[in-house]
Amino acid sequence: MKKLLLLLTLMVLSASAYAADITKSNPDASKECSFCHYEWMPQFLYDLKGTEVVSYQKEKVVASSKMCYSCHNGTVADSRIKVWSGGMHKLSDKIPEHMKIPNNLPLDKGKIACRTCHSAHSTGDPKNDKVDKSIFLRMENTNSELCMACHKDIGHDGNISHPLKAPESGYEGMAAAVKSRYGKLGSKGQVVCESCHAPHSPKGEKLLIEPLEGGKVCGVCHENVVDSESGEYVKGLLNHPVNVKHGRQAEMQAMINDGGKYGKDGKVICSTCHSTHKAKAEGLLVEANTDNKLCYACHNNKKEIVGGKHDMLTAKGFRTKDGKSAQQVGTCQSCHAPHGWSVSLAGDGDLLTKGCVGCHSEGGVANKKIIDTKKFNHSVGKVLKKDMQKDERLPLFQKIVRFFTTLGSSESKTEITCATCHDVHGKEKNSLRVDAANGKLCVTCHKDKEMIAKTSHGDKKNEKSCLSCHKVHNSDSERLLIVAENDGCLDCHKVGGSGEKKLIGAHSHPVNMKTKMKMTGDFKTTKDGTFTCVSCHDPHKASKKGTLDKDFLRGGFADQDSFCSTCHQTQKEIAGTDHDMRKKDSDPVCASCHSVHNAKTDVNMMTVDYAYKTKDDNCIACHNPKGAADKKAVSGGHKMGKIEAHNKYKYLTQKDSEYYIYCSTCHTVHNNGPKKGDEGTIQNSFLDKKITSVNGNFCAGCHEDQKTLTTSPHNVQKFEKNTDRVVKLKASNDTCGACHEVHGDGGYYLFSKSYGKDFEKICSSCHNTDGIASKTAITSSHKMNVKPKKEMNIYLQDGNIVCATCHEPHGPEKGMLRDMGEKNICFACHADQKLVDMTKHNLSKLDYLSEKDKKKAAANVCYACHTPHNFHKENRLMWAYKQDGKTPFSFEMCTDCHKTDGVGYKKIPEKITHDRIFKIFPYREKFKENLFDDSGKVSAEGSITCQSCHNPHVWKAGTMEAGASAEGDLTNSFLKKDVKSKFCSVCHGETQAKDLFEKYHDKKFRDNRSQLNKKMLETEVLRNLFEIQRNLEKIEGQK
Amino acid sequence: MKIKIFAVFLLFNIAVISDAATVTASLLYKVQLRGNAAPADAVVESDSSTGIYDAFTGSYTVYRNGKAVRSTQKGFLKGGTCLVKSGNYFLFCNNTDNTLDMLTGGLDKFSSFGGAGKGKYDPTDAVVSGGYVYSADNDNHRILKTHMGTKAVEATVGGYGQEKLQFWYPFAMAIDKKGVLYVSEALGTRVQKVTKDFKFYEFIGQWGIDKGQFYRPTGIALLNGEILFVGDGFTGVIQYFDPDGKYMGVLKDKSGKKLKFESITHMRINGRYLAVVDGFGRSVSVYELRGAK
Repeated sequence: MKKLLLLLTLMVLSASAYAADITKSNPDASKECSFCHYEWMPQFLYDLKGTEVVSYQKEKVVASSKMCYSCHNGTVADSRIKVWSGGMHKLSDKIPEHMKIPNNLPLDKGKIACRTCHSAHSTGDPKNDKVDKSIFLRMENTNSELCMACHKDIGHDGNISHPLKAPESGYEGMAAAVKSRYGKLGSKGQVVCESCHAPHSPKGEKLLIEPLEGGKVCGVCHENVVDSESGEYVKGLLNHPVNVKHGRQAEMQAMINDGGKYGKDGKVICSTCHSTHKAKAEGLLVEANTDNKLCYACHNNKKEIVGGKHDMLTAKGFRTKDGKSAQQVGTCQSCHAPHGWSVSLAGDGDLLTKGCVGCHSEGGVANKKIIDTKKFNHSVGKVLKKDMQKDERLPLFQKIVRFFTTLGSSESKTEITCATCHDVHGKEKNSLRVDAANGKLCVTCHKDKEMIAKTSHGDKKNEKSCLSCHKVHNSDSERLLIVAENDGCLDCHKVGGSGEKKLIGAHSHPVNMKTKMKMTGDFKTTKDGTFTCVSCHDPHKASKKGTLDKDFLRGGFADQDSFCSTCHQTQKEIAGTDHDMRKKDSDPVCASCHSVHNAKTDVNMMTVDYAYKTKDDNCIACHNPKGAADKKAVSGGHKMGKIEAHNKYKYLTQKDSEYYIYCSTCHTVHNNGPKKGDEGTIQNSFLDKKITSVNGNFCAGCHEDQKTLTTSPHNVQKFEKNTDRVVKLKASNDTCGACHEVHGDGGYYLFSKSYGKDFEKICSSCHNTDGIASKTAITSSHKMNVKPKKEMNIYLQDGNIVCATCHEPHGPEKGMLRDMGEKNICFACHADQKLVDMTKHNLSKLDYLSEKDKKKAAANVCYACHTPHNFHKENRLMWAYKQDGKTPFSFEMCTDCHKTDGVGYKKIPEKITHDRIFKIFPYREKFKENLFDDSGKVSAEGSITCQSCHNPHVWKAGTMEAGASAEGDLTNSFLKKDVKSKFCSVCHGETQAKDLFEKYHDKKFRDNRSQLNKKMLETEVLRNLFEIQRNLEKIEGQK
Repeated sequence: MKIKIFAVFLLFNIAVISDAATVTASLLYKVQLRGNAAPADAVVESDSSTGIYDAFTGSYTVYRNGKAVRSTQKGFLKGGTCLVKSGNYFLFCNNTDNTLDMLTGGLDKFSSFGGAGKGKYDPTDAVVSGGYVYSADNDNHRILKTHMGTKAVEATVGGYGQEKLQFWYPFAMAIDKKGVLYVSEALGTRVQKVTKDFKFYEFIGQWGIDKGQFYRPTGIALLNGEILFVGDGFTGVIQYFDPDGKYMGVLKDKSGKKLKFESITHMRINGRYLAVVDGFGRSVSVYELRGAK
């Protein structure tokens, strides 16, 4: 047991002592070398054994891949991306026999290793050189010296290798593209091995900086050929496609035999034609293209071109865009260059078109068959329409930039090109793929046009074919017509033409114009919306159907009316109305009046015989005493033709800056008519509904200023008396028809002509005791048919006052008085009486009246004394009060109020009448302004009346004083100016006149005077007479 | 008799010490990548499924029991050196853009951290603790402490050298349960422990090939937050150390055979699962660790 314990203790102590010893013998000083020379670690070097951690390392591991990787594995920064996370130059493969590795590039056990190229002790100065020069290479490699040291066979043995020269242009871009992929250019900017190959982290096989597949690596420099990112060949530059499958195995094998390579799945790549290091001909071609051998290797089916019109070897004067002859470049390369066409391009459109037009243009080698691209040619560069038939004989192509890739492909979006119809490599006439005779070529795609054979347009007896009307190239018509005008129709449909049986007359449906009509898909306008013959007609179509016995009509219509009304939709309403002129139901409605191609009129294509002069004659042709609508003959009525005040009215027709009203302004002819045989009303007499819809009243559609009639007492609906006519008018809501007859005898304002222009007659035709408006019958009125004394802006008829001067017959209010801008319409003319409004004669200002009476009086202050209508015929001044006949009017008129039961009862004069002045009074004529006869008229024969001294409209003469609330005195009280001094004093002398004037209305004074005896009175009279005499002489003398 | 008792006691203790100190690894599965793949990092989950980050393709592929279950590829992931999972997001050492990127679970970038001062930031590993991310700035030979919210670099430590708080290509990082940072130095051939406020704590190992010595220390990982595993980029062995930095042994399988790799880059531990990334061998091996409970 003791032995066991001792042994255990010794074992533990021994192990500890050993570990401490090794640590001492392994100082950091050795680290610098053994950092890579692992085998020099002290335990290996001195003790020739491993440790508890690692095994003994006898063999050299310095510069082994693993040793290099132990640092260059991402744990140090300097080579992280380039070395660690990518592939690298082959290391372990066996060295090929032909390759001799120089002695200064050591192998590792006969194989390539990191050390073969690199040495930690070798060239480069990591502190001062850039990384690309300090990668510890064993020899200089600026210009691929290191690479070429082993790869000596490149460019030898009769092979042509990629030129190692600087690009002629675009160095900067190329250098950047190469460098970004860890490649580089040489010291003089030339291509070197590392321009394409990278020993570390290459993206492609064979250490290529981009994959060979798809030619990506080529595209790094040849950026105009292949896109190095996508591997797509650059489009738009007519590069031969790469990454497209070549399906014909035999042709592929021929290329492979020549040294060409295909990509995955047999795709064509750059290396199919080119070899970077083993090329046999110029352009790094795997085989010289002598006699087009290289082209025919794949494109064997194009050989037929040889000797044909498109073999440029047979064309005189042909030159490529580089000025080379066909003999210099050969048949294929006369037009094609694998990276851009040889032939000069011309014109617009897709590149194939440009290629064809390059020769088929003025100055081109094929100038006898020019394609004028400024004219219309069969579409190219477009997708086949959905309704068109694909046919393998006429191949479609993708855009020309992908031309070679999509030949015959049905999967891609394909387009029509020149080569769809023409096979330039073939030998058929015009290089057409299908014979054009009898339309064979055309109907291959245009299947829907085949039906023309069933029509007169496809009559084989007449040798009609597509090319009878169409030309495929150089047409003046978008529809590729031989004759563009009128779609070429009239070229045949003319006298002497092949279509003269169907002549188009002088008056036909309009064509070559823009239409606002909403056309259905059955019809067709040009691209710019122009309506033409073929808008209605499809010249290829058989369309006989139902009662429609015509070909070439678009749409599948069974009768002619359906055809017309597709566009003229609203016109179909005519059926069953009075304007439906069919003799029997099976007849077409439209054709009863219209002829589409052989009408009598240019406008509306009418067929009725008539001496048409104006547009209205289209209606008058029937609506005349001898016409079909003789019962509705129109001879007068509403104004027609040119309208001067056109701004007032809508719906007028404008022509040459003038405005016109026609029948069609109101009538729609085809719409809104009464049923056949029914009498029309204002609602349905073919009147345009849209006019009615504006103001709810047809007439008010234009006569907007009269639309107040709706709420006017003159609206027939408000008529109380229901005569037969009124009932009828009410039923049709013919509000205007009560007074106006649109198609009547054309009287004034469309009243009956029998009234002439006399408004009194016109108005009283209803406003009489027996009339419709008997309740408002007029027996007497304000003076009419007289001219106002001064010029005023009021409604006058020929300068005279008429009913309508005061009344607006369409006005909405009771009385329908015009708004003349005055509170009181009377003041509009009687302005000098306006002041009455401020006086006590404005009864509304009398505080003792009831509110009701005040309100009534306020409505029109004049009506206190005057009334405009129905005053007593013997009354003057439209006096409102009926006279008792006992006292003359001029003496009674004021007492109508100023009486005990009158409204002026508070101001009743004690004595109303002045003594009658002598008839022999010599100055009557001189003072007649103050004298009035019994009827109240100013008269030298008259008497002194109230009016002699008073003006009832002015409270204080010569002032604007109101007086409505003032008590009167000798200066106001409606007294005329200077009555006392200029009139009373004539007889009474100034002194007496004063007394008398002041006491004139004083009963007491006058009664006292009546107590005077006769002598005294006579004396007074005489004295007065003398006084008068003296005063008059005085007045005379003053003159 | 006393001697007998002492002998039994001694043997018993030796056995106990041996069990406690020995860690063995049982291979669960190994993922061998093909072609130019450059496995750079791995994320081992608690169920042993492991995501492998391939720096060549820029892909991240999750394997369960050795079989790929899902894969994500992002262009920006090419050429990186670490992909560390922290909670529900990833930290990505973006050595192309010279940033440390935060990625969503779906590997979409949502935030980036930059470096500080001169020199392009060159992160090769990172750990997250207390709202900060600590990263190894390889090419600048230093460690950065960056606030995760403000993205501000609040402290740096290091610079080229072999003294304390100097580094020579710091590569991998780990943090123990005490919060001490471990940094492997690929060419410094040691593991340096520093506190989170960047004070020197201790060195583990030195240049050499014997026990506790390193030839090319690269990947490091902590078992239970205390036992340090250090992988070697050339010798391909893994050594492990106790919390005091004392060498405990070379990681072996249960038959006693040393685990040997071509060239270890990163190593990651989750629970008892260890993922070893072998860059040169283009493989990732996942082990279950036993012992050292």
